[in-house]
Amino acid sequence: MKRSLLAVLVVLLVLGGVTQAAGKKTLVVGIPADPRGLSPVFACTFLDWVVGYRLYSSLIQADENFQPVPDLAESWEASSDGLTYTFYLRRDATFHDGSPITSEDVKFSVELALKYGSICARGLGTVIDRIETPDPYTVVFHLKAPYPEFLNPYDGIGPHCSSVLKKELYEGTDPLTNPYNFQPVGSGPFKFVEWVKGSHIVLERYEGYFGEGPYIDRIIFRIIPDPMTLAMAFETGEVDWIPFTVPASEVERLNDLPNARVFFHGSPCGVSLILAYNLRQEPFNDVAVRRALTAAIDKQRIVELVYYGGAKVPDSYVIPTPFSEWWYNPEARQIGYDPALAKKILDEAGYTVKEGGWRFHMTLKHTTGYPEHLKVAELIKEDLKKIGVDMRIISLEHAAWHEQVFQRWDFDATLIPFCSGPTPPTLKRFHTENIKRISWANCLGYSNPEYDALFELMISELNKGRRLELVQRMQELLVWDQPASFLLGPLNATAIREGLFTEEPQGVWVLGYLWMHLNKVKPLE
Amino acid sequence: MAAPQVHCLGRSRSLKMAPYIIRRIAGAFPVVLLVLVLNFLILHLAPGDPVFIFIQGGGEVTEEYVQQIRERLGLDKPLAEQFFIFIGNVFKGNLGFSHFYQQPVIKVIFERIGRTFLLVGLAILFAAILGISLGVLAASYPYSPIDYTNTVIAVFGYSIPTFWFGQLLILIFGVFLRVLPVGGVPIIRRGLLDWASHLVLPVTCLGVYQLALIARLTRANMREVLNMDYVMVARAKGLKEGSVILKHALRNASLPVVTAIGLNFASLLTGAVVTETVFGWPGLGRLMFESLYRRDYPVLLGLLIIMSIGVVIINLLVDVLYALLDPRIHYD
Repeated sequence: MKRSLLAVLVVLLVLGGVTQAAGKKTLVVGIPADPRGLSPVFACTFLDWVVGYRLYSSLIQADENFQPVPDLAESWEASSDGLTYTFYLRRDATFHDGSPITSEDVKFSVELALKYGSICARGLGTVIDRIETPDPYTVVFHLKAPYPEFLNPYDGIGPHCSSVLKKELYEGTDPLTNPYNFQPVGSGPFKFVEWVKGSHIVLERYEGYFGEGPYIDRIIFRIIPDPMTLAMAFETGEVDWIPFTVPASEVERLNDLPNARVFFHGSPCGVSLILAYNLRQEPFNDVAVRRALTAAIDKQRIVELVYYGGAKVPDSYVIPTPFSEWWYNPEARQIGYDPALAKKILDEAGYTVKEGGWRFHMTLKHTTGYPEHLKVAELIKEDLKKIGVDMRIISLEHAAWHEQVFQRWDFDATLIPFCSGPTPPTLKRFHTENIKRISWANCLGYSNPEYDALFELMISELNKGRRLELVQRMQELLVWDQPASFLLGPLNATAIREGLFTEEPQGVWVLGYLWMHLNKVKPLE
Repeated sequence: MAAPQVHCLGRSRSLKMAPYIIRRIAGAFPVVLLVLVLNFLILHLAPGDPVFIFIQGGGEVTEEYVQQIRERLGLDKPLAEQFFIFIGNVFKGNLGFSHFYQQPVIKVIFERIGRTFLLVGLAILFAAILGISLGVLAASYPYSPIDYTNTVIAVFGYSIPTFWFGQLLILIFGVFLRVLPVGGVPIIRRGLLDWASHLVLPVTCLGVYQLALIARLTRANMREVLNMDYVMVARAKGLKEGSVILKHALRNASLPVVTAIGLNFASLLTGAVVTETVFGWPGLGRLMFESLYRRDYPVLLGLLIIMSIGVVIINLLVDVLYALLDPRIHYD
């Protein structure tokens, strides 16, 4: 009996060894779910980016400072009026089946992305007039109006909009259901090997890649939905890197492990959480009430109790990240935490405490799609109680929340996660034109003619200094009008096992470097 | 001489059972149809618009884009029309098209069904072998340390939440002892041993509730059966105790156990939802969990059809097995 038990233990130990790192030249990345597809045409979540963009090259990429650098385009030039951009392609770039990448493929892919890519449509959909291909290695973009962000790797002609698909495989098909979305013939440093849905995706180095590297043989994306199991897989060495999704509660513990580095970093697109008010309804149509509520909420307490320190309290709408720091206005500051001031503002505005002990009653609707939002709502409820405002929390399933908030505008206040960057075009969110009954639009009903006019000027202003002035004034208006309380910017946490691969610069590398340049990662001996 | 007799008996019994089985299969159709109707209505009448789930992220969305997605998903048509299209397609063997994966539902489900069968099948096997053994031992030595151990295991198995037990197993065997992988299926090496190492924890996690159930049931039934006259007769005939317990008592005591396994098949499938999510096991349970979150109606409905058919088939098999185990049961 003892002998057989021992044998079982030995077998298990051997098996345990087998499941450890699959080899030095294999990078194992842990992700929480399947991407929607591997074609960049659909890409709209970080999962689509971290997997899909390893397979494709695009006209330009970003360097570690988030500035445009050549990728498929070895050079480019812009006309002085900012209406024409000409890109000259490399002649040695090939798809993974060995065929050359031409300007026709680029044109086809950008047009497809403009039609189907929701993020792409935001920046460029209304800007690009037409695309010309005078020869197989030249692409010319004609714009309807100057667009200063055209070369921005995120909001411009970067990987979101110009990852190159092979035209021959997509032409005449439904691009959304094309089988090559799941077995792509890409154009990037790594080629597709296998995708077992719900389990893993395997990519291998493409020997014919035109650029530097890749130096590792294989990337395995392991799909582990439970965040705790994902953290434990990192702990046992089954996963080398976890980008973005380490649970905040696990950061400290994992950081104590030998050879592990786990750190918080801002979201590349500056995700922020706001308490949005329905400005069509009383008393939220009164700016005094909105300011008072902002002053009443202890945002730092929310950061500590709900996010375990993994969030930042912003001064205004913009969460400063390495990509948005240049246009962030430190002078535009919303009122800090000051419950006494909140009471004073409400008293002066006529919202005095009535019989029953309350100044007024309100509701806060939140989605259960983000589990932390309920905890945030509970802390806000406590804070508002202290100034005599009675708030009832209404938890809604994600689709129902969407319907009530964005379609029916049926809410007093709601918690909305936003992208507040990385570039100024995101300020369109508060434009009057954006008051529409669709997803992520200006459901607040905020409308300020001065703000709208500033936006119109800013969006096509090519002079960076003048544009900065306009953008900064817009932030002042947002803080002054306070259509929402800008609560916090959740930070993401990334975990890396050190000693396996070359180190990358901290901070910006998450999007600007690492995820666009896995071809540069080298195994350490 | 006994063998041919048994053979003849089996043949005549299976002939007699054929109409019964056909009747049962015919009776299952309305059940599956009702499942379809109810689930279609529940999913489609729930508040909220699945198009918004489809459009994730914080990017700007145009009205044209929303309409384009709605038409693509077939959600622009009236509910009744959507329902008849759905039912018509089901009878043609077409379970629809996944909103999320942009692939036929049949393909999405059949990519994963084998892994869930493997997990559930092994969990039943694990629970049955260990549960019956424990139950028999406990009944044979009542109020002994073995019996008390059986009780402790049963209480533990009944009451422990699956997700917590799963995490505990991962923590002990994956993180502290590092003898088993924390989850998933083999990726590079796909040998039998690698599969086995990935299966140990999820099978244990999923099977522990069934194990508790079977152990308790077996013990109770064995205690009852061991007091029967025919057991006394067997012992009086001078049969060995092992033979008395295994051949005479266990066969009779196993009838309710077999029923319980059949009735609990559905709960095993629900257990698989949690187990597969905790262990990152890419099977149907996890697909169901993810599809619920993504409001992927076609996949959810497809899963419900496949699972309800599965439950009907298993219950049918149990009924057949019941007759084979107990010659006194007739279905005509």
